[in-house]
Amino acid sequence: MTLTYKFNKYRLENGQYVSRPRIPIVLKGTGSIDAFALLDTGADTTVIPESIASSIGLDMTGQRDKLYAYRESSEVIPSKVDITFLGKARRQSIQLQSVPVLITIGEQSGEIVLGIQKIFDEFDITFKKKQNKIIFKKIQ
Amino acid sequence: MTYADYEWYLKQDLSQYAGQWVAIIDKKIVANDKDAAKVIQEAKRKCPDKKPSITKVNNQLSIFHS
Repeated sequence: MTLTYKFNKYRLENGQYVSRPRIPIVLKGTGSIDAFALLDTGADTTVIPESIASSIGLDMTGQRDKLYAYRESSEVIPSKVDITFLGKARRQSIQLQSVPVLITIGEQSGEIVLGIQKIFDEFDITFKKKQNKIIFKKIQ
Repeated sequence: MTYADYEWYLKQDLSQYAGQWVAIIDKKIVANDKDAAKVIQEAKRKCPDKKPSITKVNNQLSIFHS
């Protein structure tokens, strides 16, 4: 089973354009939220801001740790979340359960980032930028 | 969320919302703020029977967003 997504073209504040892989997902804890998340092949794990984690009732009792991004670090709490990758039709959607996540604490600047851990074990992901396609193939 | 909202979102220039979270329902921005929790609350208040899709508008050159 495959899911096909697209790049999102952004106009930056400096006038340049960049294309970023955006993936429609549903994050589920005790509640759920639909989101367009950034897929980041350089991120070790999936990252969710605290405000989102709270709103969907993720367990935030884990031991605090540090997440390093380039030259800066953030305080994080490890947790788990169910992630549904949306298909064009609902029945085509694919759910991954108990995906490890890091919740960034006290930050309003972060966003939802889909990282390597678990997601890249469950899907073969192909980037075709010229064709504006990101193909997720579920590994059986 | 519908796939139609996703396809609509991909075509939008949201630079006016730079640095903010936005909530999308039925191909419309229904809430925006720097605080994601406020955006979710506002979207639910405006459209209690619908589920918003949220995303962050980042218009800065970046290597990692968290």
